[in-house]
Amino acid sequence: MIAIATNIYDFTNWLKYGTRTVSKEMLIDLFDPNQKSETLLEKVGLFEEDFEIFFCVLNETFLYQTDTIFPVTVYQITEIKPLSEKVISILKQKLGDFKISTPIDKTLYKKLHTEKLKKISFDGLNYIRESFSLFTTPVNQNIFQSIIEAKAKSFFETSSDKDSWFDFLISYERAKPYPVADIGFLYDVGAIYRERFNITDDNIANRELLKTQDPDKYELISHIVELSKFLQTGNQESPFSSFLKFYETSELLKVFNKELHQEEIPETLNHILLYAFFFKFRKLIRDTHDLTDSKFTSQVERFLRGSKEEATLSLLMCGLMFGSLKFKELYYASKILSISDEPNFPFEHPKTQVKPKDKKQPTEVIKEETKISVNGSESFDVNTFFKIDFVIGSLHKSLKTKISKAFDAALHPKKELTTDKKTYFINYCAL
Amino acid sequence: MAWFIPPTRLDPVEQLPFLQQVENTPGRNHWIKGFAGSGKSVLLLHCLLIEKRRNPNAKAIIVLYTYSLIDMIKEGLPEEYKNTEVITFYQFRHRHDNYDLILVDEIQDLPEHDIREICSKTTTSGRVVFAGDINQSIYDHSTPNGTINTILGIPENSTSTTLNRIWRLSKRIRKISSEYCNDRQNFLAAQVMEFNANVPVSLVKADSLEQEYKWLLTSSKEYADAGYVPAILISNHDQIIQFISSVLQDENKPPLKNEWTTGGDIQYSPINLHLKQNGIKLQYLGNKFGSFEEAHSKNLVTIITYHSSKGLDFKTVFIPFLNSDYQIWGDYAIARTLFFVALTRSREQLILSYSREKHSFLTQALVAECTPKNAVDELRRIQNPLGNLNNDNDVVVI
Repeated sequence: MIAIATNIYDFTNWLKYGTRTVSKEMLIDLFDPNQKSETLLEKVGLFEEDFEIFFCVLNETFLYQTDTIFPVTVYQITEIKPLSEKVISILKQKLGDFKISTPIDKTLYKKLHTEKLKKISFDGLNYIRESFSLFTTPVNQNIFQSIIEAKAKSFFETSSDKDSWFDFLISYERAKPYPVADIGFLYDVGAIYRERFNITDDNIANRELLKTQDPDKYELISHIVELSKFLQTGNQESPFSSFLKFYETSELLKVFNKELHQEEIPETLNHILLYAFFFKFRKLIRDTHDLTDSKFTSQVERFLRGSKEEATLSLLMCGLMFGSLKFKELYYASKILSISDEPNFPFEHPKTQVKPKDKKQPTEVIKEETKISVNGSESFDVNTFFKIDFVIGSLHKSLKTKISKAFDAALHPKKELTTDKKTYFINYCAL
Repeated sequence: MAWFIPPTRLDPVEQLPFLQQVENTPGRNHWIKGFAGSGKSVLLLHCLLIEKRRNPNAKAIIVLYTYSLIDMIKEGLPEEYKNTEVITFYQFRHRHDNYDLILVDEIQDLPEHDIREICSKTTTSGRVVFAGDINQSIYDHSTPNGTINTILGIPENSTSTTLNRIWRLSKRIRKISSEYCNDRQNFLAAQVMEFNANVPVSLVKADSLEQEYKWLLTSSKEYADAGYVPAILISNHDQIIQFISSVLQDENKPPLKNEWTTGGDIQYSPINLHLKQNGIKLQYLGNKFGSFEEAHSKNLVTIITYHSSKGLDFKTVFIPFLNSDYQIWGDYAIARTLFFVALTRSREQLILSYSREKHSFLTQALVAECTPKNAVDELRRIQNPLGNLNNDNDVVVI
C-alpha cells in the first residue's frame, strides 16, 4: 500500500490546486514492516501531535512509478489513513467532508514514534548543550540512550514495567507536600530512593526488626534516616551548599551516594546532588514560559558556577527529557539564525550585563571578568576556560568560535610560542 | 501578568492560526472552543491585543461570569492594557454603551437572550469574541451550539477554532475526569502536553466525617505551609459552613455567629475576618470575598465552591466529602458537569476523599486510577513522622 504523509495545510493546498508534485523518495509502503525507522521519519517529517499528520494512500499505479518527480492529482488518492484510532474524530472535525479510514499498522506507528522521540530528545540535548556551552562534562553516551528508553516507556504508558534507575527517575512525580523551595528537591531524591528499593512506611516504622531479618534493607533505611536528619537541620536558604557540607561529614550519605551510582555516570559526581538538580531544573523548565528570560538563564548559570558537573549533566538530562520543542527559542536566541533581524543576547549574566544608563558600571565589571580569564598570576589551562565559559556562552556565535579557536591555539600551539600562552591568546583574539 | 503568554510562545498548530484568522477577519465574531486547560482565556487576551494594535482607541471590554475570574483575568492582562474594563455579566446588563470589541468567557453558561444582548452592544464595525467549553456548561439555561453559531453568524460546519491541545492538565487527571466529560471521545483524543507534571491522584478514606474534617484541615495546611497554595472545592455553602464550624471547634476557637450564616446570603466577609483573627489559615474565595494574593502571600488554604472555581486553576486541589449522600447538584447532568469542572481545576495534585459509602461518581474505573490512602495513616504521617520503635528520635520526613 503506497502512501504519502501529509498535513492539513499541504492537503488543503492539494485540494486547492487539484494536484501536487511528489518525489519518489516520499512514497511510503505502509505494508512494509521492515523499513528503517530513520527513513520512515524522514519521509513523514517531524510532528508533535498525532492529528497533525495523516497518510494519503495512492492508487496502485504509483507502485511502478519510474520518474523521480511526478504530479499526483486528488483523484489518485484512495484513502486517508490517520496515525492512530484516537485522532479519527479530530481529523473528521478538521477535514470536514472526507472519509477517514482505519489507522496505520501499530508496529509502524510505534516505530515512527520511537524514532521521533529519539530525534526530538537528542535535539533537545544538543539545544541545551549549545545554549549554555555545556561541552565539557565527561559522560558515557549510554546514559542518554537509557533515558530515551525510559522516556519511551513513559510515552507508550508502559512505565509500570520499571527496570532501570532511569525508569524510576523519568516517571517520578512528587506525591507528598515536600517544600516548594529548593530543599524539596532533596526530599524528592529520598522519595525516589525509597521507591526504587521498595522501602515502605512499615519497613521504616519497624526498622529495628529488619536489622537482623533484612540487614540490607536496614542499611538502605539508615540512608533515608540520615538524609532526613539533614533535611530537618540543613540551611533552608542555601540547601545545596549546606547539603554538601553535611555530606562531607556523613559516611552514611556517602554510601547512599554509591547506591545511586549508575555505570554510565562518572563516580566523581555527587549523585544525590545530580538528581536533586535534575528535579530542580525539571520544575524550573516546566514552570517557565520563556526560557530565554534572564530569570531562568541566570539561575542555570548560578548552578553551573556552583557545581558545574552535576548541573551540566542534570541539564543535559532535562534536554533529553523535554526535547527540542521546549528549548527551540532558547537555542535560536543563543545561536543566531542568519535570517534573524538582529542578534539578541538573552543571557544577561549579572556581571556582564551592560546597563546603558550607567556608563561606569560595565567597564568595571567587564574588567573583572577579564581579570579572571587572563590575569598573569593565574595558570593558563582548561580550568581557565571553565571559568570564563559562561561568559563565552553569552556571546554571538562568531565571537564564541573565535575565542574558542584562540584558546585551543594557545593551549595546544602548533609551533613554539614567542610569548606566554596568555599573551598569545589575547593577540590571537585581537586578530 | 503571571500567566499571560506572549505571541512568540503561542502554539503554532492551533493558537496562532486562530489569531491569524481573527486578524484577517475584522468585524467578524468568533467562538474559541476548547477543553479545560486548552488556553481559551490566553487567546481572548490576544484578541484584545490584536484589536488594540489595529486601533489603539478601540473601546474594548471583557465580560466574565465570576469575580474570581475577573481577578484572574486582570492578573493576566499585560501592563499596557491594565485599564481595560473587566466586569461581570450582571454589571454588563446595565451598560448601554457600544463597544468595538467585547470579549466574553464561559459562553456555554449564557442564556440565549444574554448572548443576543451582548452582540447588540457592538459598534457597527465592532465584534464579539466568545470563549467557552460546552462540556463545562453548568446551568440549565445554556444555549445550544447551533443557536450560538447562528447568533454569532458563524457557519455551522466551522471548526477552525476548536482547540484540541490541553496545556494544563496531566494525563492522569484527564483520564479520571474524562468519565464526566460530555464529549469524552474527543477529550481523550485531545493531546495533553508531555512535559506536564503527572502526579498520581489520591483517594483518601476516613472513618468518619469528623475524622475527614480533621484530616482535610491538617493535610491542606501541610500543603499550604509547604507553599502549594491549595484549594478545597466544596459543592455547596452548607457544607462549607459545616467544615469551617468544625475547624473552629476543633481548634477551640469561638464559633461562627448565627447571623453570618442564616437568612439569605452567607456573610463571608465577617467569616473570613473571624478566621483570620483566630489564626486559622483558611479563607473563602468567591463572590468578591477572599483574595488570591493573600492566599499566596500568607500560605492560606482557599475554600471555594465548584461553581466559583470554574475558569480557575490551582496547583493542589482537594475534593472532599464524596459520600453517597453528598449532593453536588439537584440535576444529575449538571452535577456530572460540575464534578468534571472540579476535577479539572488541578494543575498537579488532586486529592479526593470520602468517609462513608462512596459517592456514585467515585466509579470503579475512577477509583482504579487513584492511589488509595487512609486518613488515619495520613494524620499519623503528618503529626508523627515515622519514628523508630526504640524512640531514638530519628525521624524520617521523606
